[in-house]
Amino acid sequence: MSRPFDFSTDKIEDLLSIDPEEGKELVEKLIANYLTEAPKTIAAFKDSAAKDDLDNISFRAHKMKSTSGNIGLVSVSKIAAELDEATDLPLSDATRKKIKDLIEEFGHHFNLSQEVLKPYSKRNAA
Amino acid sequence: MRSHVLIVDDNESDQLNLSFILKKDGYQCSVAKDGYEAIDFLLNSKERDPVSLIILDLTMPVLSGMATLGRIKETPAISHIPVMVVSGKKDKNDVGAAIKSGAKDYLVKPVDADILKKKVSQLLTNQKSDWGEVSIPTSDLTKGFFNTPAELISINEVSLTYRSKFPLPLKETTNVFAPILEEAGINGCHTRVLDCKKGNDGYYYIQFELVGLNQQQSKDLRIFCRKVYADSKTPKSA
Repeated sequence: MSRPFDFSTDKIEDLLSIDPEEGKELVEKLIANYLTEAPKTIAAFKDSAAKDDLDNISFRAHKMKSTSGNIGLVSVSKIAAELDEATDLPLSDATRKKIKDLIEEFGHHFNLSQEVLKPYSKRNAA
Repeated sequence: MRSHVLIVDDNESDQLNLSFILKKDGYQCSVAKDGYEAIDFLLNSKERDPVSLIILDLTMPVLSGMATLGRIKETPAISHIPVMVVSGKKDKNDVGAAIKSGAKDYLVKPVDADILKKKVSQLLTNQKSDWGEVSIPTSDLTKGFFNTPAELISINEVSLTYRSKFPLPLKETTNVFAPILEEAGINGCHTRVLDCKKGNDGYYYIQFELVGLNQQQSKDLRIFCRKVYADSKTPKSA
């Protein structure tokens, strides 16, 4: 069962408060970067999990932790952090299952995140 | 002059985020995407303003943040630049290892803009507070270099120290050595102040580092400085 989706507008509002115009441009870039990178990351997670390549999962999860956190995607960032930590566990069937579950949960939260980011993304503004 | 901050991070999202926050707070920012690029930038920045602070990620491909930190700290020309680690790693062992290896501060990602600004300001202020504040025309300082009371008191590779009756004015540090380098026939390097302390004798001891010298220039400069040092010790005949 997946945890509740959590999105905080604080990070985005902080950037907009620094400079409304340039902050908006930056937020759009950060969101575009996330929307581009996350699907590639999910595909890489799945591929790496099938090969027991935990280093690659760790590296990508670590990166996704701040990429999502920078735009206030609290639960996505948290799942990425847990995935990163799970790669430190001794490799076993239980670890594989934990990683597989977290990857699925990450994918689910990514789908949910696309909706909440719409008001801030360039694609929507256009 | 705006302080120059080098952000070393492979993650585009963090590069954009950190640069934006710091630029809007008045800093000049440059970005390196890995440790090699960062060290290359730091060692070959003659044409740019010197970097006052390095913000370093830990998890990077090619050369990790810890390896980069180690290389920075063992490279005399850049080891004095304060490093703040900004990483997604929040384990106390990671924090402890970074501080032990020479990082001045540690901030966990995703960063809070206000905390980042505060920490950067603190690090740069602390760095400057050890130097002098009184403004003296550069010409007076450089003139004084060859005359009493200023004299060379040590020569160690590319680090030079001289003592003066006056503390060093921050804004004029980089030009102090210009006439000396010119007289020694050395071009293409610049100076950085490493330290300025007041001794018990009432004099200010100012340590410089010369950045960007090649091996031959370094040798030439040492010979030149030894001569100046010897001359300054020789009593002038009436």
